[in-house]
Order: sequence, then C-alpha cells, then structure tokens
Amino acid sequence: MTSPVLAIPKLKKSNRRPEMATQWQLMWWKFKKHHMALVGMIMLSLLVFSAVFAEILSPEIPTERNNKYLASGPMGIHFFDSEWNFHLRPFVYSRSTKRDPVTLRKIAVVDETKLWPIEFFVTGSPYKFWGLVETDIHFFGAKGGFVHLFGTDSLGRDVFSRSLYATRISLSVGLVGVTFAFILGAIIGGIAGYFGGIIDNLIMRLIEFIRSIPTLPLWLALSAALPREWSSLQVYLAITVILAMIGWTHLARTVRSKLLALREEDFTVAARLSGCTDMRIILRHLLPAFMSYMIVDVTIAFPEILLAETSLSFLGLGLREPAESWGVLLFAAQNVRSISHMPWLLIPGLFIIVAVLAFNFVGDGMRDAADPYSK
Amino acid sequence: MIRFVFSRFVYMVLTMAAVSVIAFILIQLPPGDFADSYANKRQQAGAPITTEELDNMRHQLGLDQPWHIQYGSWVSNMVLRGDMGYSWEWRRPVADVIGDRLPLTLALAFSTLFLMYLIAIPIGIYSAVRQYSATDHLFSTAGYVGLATPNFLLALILMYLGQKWFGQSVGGLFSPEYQDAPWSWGRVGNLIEHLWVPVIVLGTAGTAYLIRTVRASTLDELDKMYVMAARAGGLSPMRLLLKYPVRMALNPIVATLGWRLTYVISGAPIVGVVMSLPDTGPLFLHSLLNQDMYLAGGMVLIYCAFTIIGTFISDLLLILIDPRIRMQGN
Amino acid sequence: MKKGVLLEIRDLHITLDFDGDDIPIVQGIDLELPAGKVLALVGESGCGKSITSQALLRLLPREVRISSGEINFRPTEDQSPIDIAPLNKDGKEIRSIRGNQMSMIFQEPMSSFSPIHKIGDQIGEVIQLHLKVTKAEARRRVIDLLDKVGIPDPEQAVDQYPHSFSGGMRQRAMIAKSLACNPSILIADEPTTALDVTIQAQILEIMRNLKDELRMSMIFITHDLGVVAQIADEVAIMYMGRIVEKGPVSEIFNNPQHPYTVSLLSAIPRLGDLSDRRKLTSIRGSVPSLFERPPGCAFHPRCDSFIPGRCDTQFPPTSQLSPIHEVHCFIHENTEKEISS
Ligand SMILES: Nc1ncnc2c1ncn2[C@@H]1O[C@H](COP(=O)(O)OP(=O)(O)O)[C@@H](O)[C@H]1O
Ligand SMILES: [Mg+2]
Repeated sequence: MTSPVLAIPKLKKSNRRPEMATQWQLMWWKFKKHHMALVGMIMLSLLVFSAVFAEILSPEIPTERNNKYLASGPMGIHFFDSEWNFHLRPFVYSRSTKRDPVTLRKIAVVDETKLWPIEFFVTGSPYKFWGLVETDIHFFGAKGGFVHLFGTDSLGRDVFSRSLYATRISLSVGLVGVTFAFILGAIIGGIAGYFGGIIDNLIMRLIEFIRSIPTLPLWLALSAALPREWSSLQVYLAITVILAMIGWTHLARTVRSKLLALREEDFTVAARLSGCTDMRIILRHLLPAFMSYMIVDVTIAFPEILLAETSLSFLGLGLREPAESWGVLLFAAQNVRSISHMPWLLIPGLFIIVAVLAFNFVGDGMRDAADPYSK
Repeated sequence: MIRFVFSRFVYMVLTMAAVSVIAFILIQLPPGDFADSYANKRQQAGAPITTEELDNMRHQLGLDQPWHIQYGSWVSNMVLRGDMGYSWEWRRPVADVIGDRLPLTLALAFSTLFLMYLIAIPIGIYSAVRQYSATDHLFSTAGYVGLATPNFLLALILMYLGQKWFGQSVGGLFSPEYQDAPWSWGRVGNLIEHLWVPVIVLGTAGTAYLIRTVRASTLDELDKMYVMAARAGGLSPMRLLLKYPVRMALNPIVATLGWRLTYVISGAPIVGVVMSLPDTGPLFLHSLLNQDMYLAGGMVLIYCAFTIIGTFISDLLLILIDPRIRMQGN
Repeated sequence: MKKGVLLEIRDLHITLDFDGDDIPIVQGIDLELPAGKVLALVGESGCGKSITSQALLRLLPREVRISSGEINFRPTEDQSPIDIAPLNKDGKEIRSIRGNQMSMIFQEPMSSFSPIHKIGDQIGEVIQLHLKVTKAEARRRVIDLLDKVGIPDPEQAVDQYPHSFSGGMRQRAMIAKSLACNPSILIADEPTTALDVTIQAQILEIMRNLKDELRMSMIFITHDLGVVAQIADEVAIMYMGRIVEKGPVSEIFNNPQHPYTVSLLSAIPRLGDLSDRRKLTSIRGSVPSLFERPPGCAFHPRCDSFIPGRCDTQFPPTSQLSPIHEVHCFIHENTEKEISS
C-alpha cells in the first residue's frame, strides 16, 4: 500500500541516509531480500563456471568413445565398499566387459572386487583449453579405469562431459541471442520512443502483431529453410539470429515506454533545473533507472531463447552435431525406445530446467529490485 | 462499442493478410521451385526432363510470373476454392492433408486451454487470498518448475514413466483397435482416455503461468479501494471476494485468452512430434524437414489463423464482461 | 461510558507487522464522540488518521492490527456498548455493524466503486444486506437516496456505471451508500480532499444538512483545518499516532495551545489575512516515516519551542487546560498545576 516503507529499515541498519544511497545500492539491498533470487544467482554462477571450465572439469573429451562402456548407466561414486570399509578417497567400482549370451553384444558389468579410486588433477586425453592452450590435465578421473558420472550414450561417449560442453554452447547461444535481441530491441524501441507519432504507432502495431502469432512454428519453418550445406558455425549464427527475433519485442517495448516516460519524469526536470549537463543527466539519473528495466527484460528473454534453442535442436532443426547443445544431446533421447533403455540420456534436460529456473528466480528478484521503492 | 468491434475486426483481417504474406515468403524461401524439385526427382528416377518441358511446366503452374501475381493467385485460390496448393510429399492437395489431421490438433488445443483455465483460476485465487501460506508457496514452487520444463522434456519424462510403470507406450491418441476405425462414440471415448497425457504436456507451463497471472491480478484487485469500500458495507468475505476482486480479475484473464491460445498452438507441433500423435505436429515437422513448402506454409497459416481468430473472440468476450469497453465511444 | 457518548476510544494502539517487527503506528489515543456531534480528526498526511478510522470498523489492512485498547460503541444512548476491538475481524458481529450502524466514506471517490457494477446495485447491495426488503424496494430506496444527495435524474443514474460519473457525483453516490441504512455514526475519511474547491463546498453542505436531518454523529477526518471550521463541533489534533491537543472547535481555533496546532492554523488562508498581510507559513520539515519516529514528543524536531533534554526524552503527559481543553506539551506542564492548585 505505502511505498517508501520497505527500503528504509535496510537503510537504517547500514546507517545510511536515503539520499546517500545510489540507485544501484538500493537495488542490491532489495535484491538480497529475495532469497530465491540469491539461490538463482548461485545456480547461474555454477552453470557459468562449468561452461567456462568445461574442458578441465570433464574427465573425458566429448568425442571420445569408450568401447568398454557402451550405452551404460551412471557410475556411482562410493566411500564405502561392499564390505562396509570406509575409504577416505572416493572410488567407483571397476567394470569388466562380457558378451550378452543372447544378443552377443558387449555389455559392461560391475566388478566389485576391484576399485578405481577417484583422483584429482589427473592426466588424460589431450585437449586445447578454449582452443588455445594445449594440455591434458583433467579435474578428476578414475585411476586405472574410467568414470562416467551420467553414463554413456550408444556410441560410448561420456554424457557428463558432453553436458558440460553443451552448457557452454547453450549458454553462449542464449548470450549471443540476447545480445542480438538487445541491440534489435534497443534500436527499434529507441526509434519508436524517440520519434513518437506515426513511426511509434507503426512499430507498436508490428510488435503487437509479432506477439499475436504463434512463434514456434514460424521459427521452425525459418530454420528449416536454412540451406543444408551450411557449416555448423553458419547454422549457429543463423539460429541465434532467428532466436533473437523472439526476444526483442519485450525489450523494444521497455525501451520505448521508458524513453517516453523518462523524458517527462520529474527528476530529469529537476536535474536540468539544477544545472546538470545533458550527459550528466543521462549517466547519473537516466541510465541506472533505464538499465535496471533492461536487465529485467534480459533475464526474461534469456530463458525464452534457451528454451527455443533447445526445442529447435531437439527436433533436429536447430544446431546439429558435431555442435553440442542441451537440445542436441536430447535429440538422442527422442523416442521412447531409447529413453526406456537409457533414461540417463535425459539428464542434460535437468541442466535446462536448472538454467531456466535460475533465470526466472533472478528475473523476479531483479523485477522487485528495479523498483526499489515499490512494494 | 460498434467502433471497437469494427476496429478489432479490421485488425484481424489485416493480421491475416500479413500472416499470409509471411507464409508465402516461407514457401518461396528454399532455393529452387516446385519444377526444379520435380526435375530432380525425374533425374534421380533416370528419366530426365527436357528444358522445354520444364519451361512448359513452369508456365502452366504460373511459376514464371512475378511473385506478387503468384501470391495473388495463391491467396485467391485459397479464399475462393479452398485450394492451398499441392503437397509434393503426400501427392495430395494440401487442404486435404491438413484437413485429415486438424480436428485432433484442435481437440488437443482447446481441451488444453479449457483445462488450463479450469485449474489455474481457482488455484490462482486461492493463492492470492492465502498469500504466503504453505499452499501458496507450494503452488508457486511447482509453478516455477512447471515453467522451466520444456514441453518436450516433460513429454519424454511422462513417456518414460508410463513405460516403466504401465509397461506400455503412452504416446499416440488411440489404442490400436481404434487406430484406423471410423469415428464412433467408442473412438471418442478412447481418444479422451489418451488425450490427458498430451494435455498435461501441453498445458503444464501455461497453467503455471496462468496461476501466476490470476494470483497477481487478484492480489492487485484485493488492494483496491473499492474492496475496502465494499467491506465497509458489511459484505461477508466470501461473497465480497467472488463478487468484486475475482470478477474484476477475470478481465485481464479473458483479455489474454488469445495469447494463451497462441501459446498452446505454438507448443502443439512439438508435442505431437515427440508423442507421435496422429495430429498436425508430425505432418508439419516432416514437411519442414523435406522442404515440402506448400504444406509447411499452409500449416503456418492455419496455426496463425486460429490464434488470430481466438484473439478476436477474446476481444468480443471482453466487451461482454467489461462495461467500460462496452461504453466506449458512447 | 459517559452519558451522551456513542463511541469511545480508549488507549488504542495499532501496529504494523513488518517482517516480524512490530512498528507502532498509533500509540494510545483516547477519543469520545458525543451523539449528534461532529468530531474532526486533524493532522498532516501520514499521521495515522486513516489507520485510526479503519480500525473503528476493523477494516485495517492485513499487516496492520490493533495491539491493545478498547473501542466501545453503542448505536443509541439507551443500548449497552460493545467493544469492537476484540471482535473477529470479519465475523458476524462486526459485519452487522458495518454499513448498518456505522458506515464510512473514503478519500478516493474515483476508486471507491467497482467499475464493472452498476452504481445502483452497489448501493442496493448494502440495503438488502441489512434491511429486510425486496429487490424492488431496495431499488426504490436507492433512487430516493441518490435524489437526497443531489444527483440529477436519479431514476436513470441507478443503472449507470461509475465511469460515467464525475468525481463529485461519485462522492455523492458514496454518501448515499453510506447513508443507506440510517447509520448512527458516519466516518468520513478526507471526503473532500480529492475534489475541486467548489465541489468540496457542495459536498460539505450536503453532509452538514444530512447529518442534521438524519441525526447522525460524525467523525470527520481531514488535514485541512479550514474545512474543520465549516463542519466540526469538536477537534482532535493528531501527530504521528498520538492526539496532541483536543477541544471544542472554537477553543482550538481561538486558543490553540500546542505548537503543532498553532502551525497548522497558520497554514490556512483566511479572508482577513489578506488585509493584515501576514505571510502564509507552512510547517518546517515533514512528517517522518514510521521507522524514524523521533523519541519523546515526535514533533520536537520541527518545533520552535523545543526544550532540549525534555521534549526528546519523554512524551508529555496530559495537561487539562480546562474541563474541555486538553493538550500534551511540556510548555504547559505548569499551567495545569496552577489550575488544579
Ligand atoms: N498497509 C500499510 N503498510 C505499511 N504502512 C502503512 C500501511 N498503511 C499505513 N501505513 C503507514 O501508517 C502511517 C499512517 O498512515 P495513514 O493512517 O494512512 O495516515 P493519514 O491518513 O493520516 O495520512 C503512515 O506512515 C503510513 O505509511
Ligand atoms: Mg489518509
């Protein structure tokens, strides 16, 4: 009901007077009050961390095939062995290969007599970190054998490692897509807000139109029309551009309405009266107010784009192997038969859920924080 | 009010026109035209076609005309004769191919929409009235997860669980004995039995979103002055709630009916594909993968048409329930 | 309860629940409303007037509650009073009082009616709720009421929606609604604040006439002492959840004793002022937020007669300047002793 109430006790506790708190500080205080937003922040940081250090964190490189462990499930990490002896160093049970007497296929069986201890910073397959630094250090690995935390796919590739690499690609698609959307939205919304009048009207109609048609079929059709012979980099770029078209409308609206409102707002007038130059007005007053709303919209657009990319790739219309995204990984789990044999192929789906959840939590916190004086 | 209806109607027609242009561009987008792909097939079949024949064919089909003439004849054929072009893949007119499968898509979309509202409205209102209660927290947590799970992933999970618990596939819309049977009450019943899984898949995220909307708009209304004024008149809490805030909160809900429909229609193809439903979803995907563009364009057009009409209907409903709009212009 | 009094507030405390902390809004006020009189509750915005008035009908927002005190109410002098404070917030007892024996008018005429229900239905609802009448009779009564509050063409107005009413018309309709069941007490929370000056005068006129005609008592809340002169019999001046001075209207206007009252009075333009060229003063500073309540007498940071070490340590006790005039201020600490000795 009443507005200034919420922010004030925080101000008091840190012994500050409201006029000394900058817009950003107020927003941070408000954001911190939102526990879920903090949880979301932590989840996001973990995801970003594993995306950045994907090569180091994965025990294998994603193209590597383990012929001794084809299409087999997650390997549990243990501290107690089958006789209940405690091991300070965690281990996995070793696996040996047998032939299935019926199908004659090779299958991996657990061998509880032999343990493969987990070691850290072990040497393994060589790779180039970010394509630059050549090394063969992996964060962890099983001495004398292998460890597949999330199991392997039908070619024997490590699902855990592939998920980490896919995190990098998926988040980067989101990031690039959001950047495109941001630029597009800022330019179009800026034009609408700056010129106003008939141009504004036309642009608003366009946005309303885009939002009133079912977008997914349209994006599906657009990506299906991409030439088949394109390289995966070209496809990657094209897909991100297509996805950016999903996100820009919100941003454009925000930019426009804020631009229109800010021009009129009291504090601009007040700042101008007190003799601030235009640049100072923009930097000190308009930008923080503006950015906070833009950030909120970005946190809304990001998961939308993530979900859309995943859906496209899952249907085989987005990114394709050898590029790896969460959607590409799930492509392998497309039919009931493969998921009933290898349910662990759905694990990359958890990454999507966690990522979108995290963004939504952070987005909600941001929304509250963007208006530090609101309810 | 008449002006409002009229302007919404004009808007609907304009949107349809714009969508048809987009669909047409999609059809034209892949390199080469129908004649080219025909020539290709003949080539592969070992009976190459002469250039002259090819030109003839182009001329007959009007493919040598400038694009706006082609567009004009595409649209007029569609509007006047219901002819949406020819599906190369199916060797049948697009309208027939779509017509076979459209009813199921519509049944799925509308039952999802209906259930979404049926579930979300009471829960949303309850969560608003009992704000910050355990139930409220429970629903909002569930809602977050529901919103974050992509439809197809939910479908995969449900299918996996179905396989594991019931030992049978939960995909499809009919049991085998009804698969190709003619329509009968038994078949309808069988359809309803199967429909709930895709409905859950298609509706979960939307329901979660709707619960949030209902909750937020009810909370908004509960804070309004007129609610206190009505309380000051001595109304009982329940009557008050139903008569004022809930009634008012319905407006934004009805106003966004069109969007919700858009959303459901948007998600339908992917669910159809994952669960291999005999609806338009797989049809659409295959047409895209094979660049059978008249069919694909036709599908995009139909999907859009439903949402546009849905939006128009929700505008009309809004007139019914909101006197402020009804009075506009008087 | 004293003779002739319909409503008596005793040591009323109201607190805001803020994330588990109790923040006081109203800190122990005592008021009495004699039958047939108008009591004005005056103070700047944010002093807790609305919260006090909402407490009387138990209409407080969810996070705000009555923490202690009594609100004794009787519809007529020969009934025995009931204490409203401990009643169930939305229970039967309080609901049978609301809109029936005690009713309320709010500050915002534009938003006090639901925009999607007809005016007539919203008023008729109260009538049907409390009086045993048919729908047709209720409608008849609504038309009479609308006529009484000066709405032109009431037969037609009943079936209209609020958005076709102007602010003044809506406030009239609101008055009609509050009078629907002949209440014995009317609480009016800044009923004219949101209106134009000319409309303000009309609304005040109507309220004054109807009050006499229906023999109601009234609690009239305002931040404008100018309005008080036109309608009130008794005045209570409120600052940050406390009554700092109270007495009959003539006494307060001619003999204000609390520095806050004095500054409120000097902020009203009077006809005579123009001639003696006295400058209109506004009060220094503004009402602090609930979270920054100054210790002692909350007014001391803005007060010209501030006594350091006294005003900022303790809230001044009651000084009974005369049997009808009461003030809380340390500059009158000794005056009372003189009277009593
Ligand atoms: N619902 C609420 N939540 C928090 N604070 C409130 C609420 N309602 C009122 N207040 C606070 O209580 C104080 C008194 O408010 P109010 O009674 O509306 O003042 P007045 O009517 O005298 O202007 C103000 O400081 C206001 O901020
Ligand atoms: Mg008030």
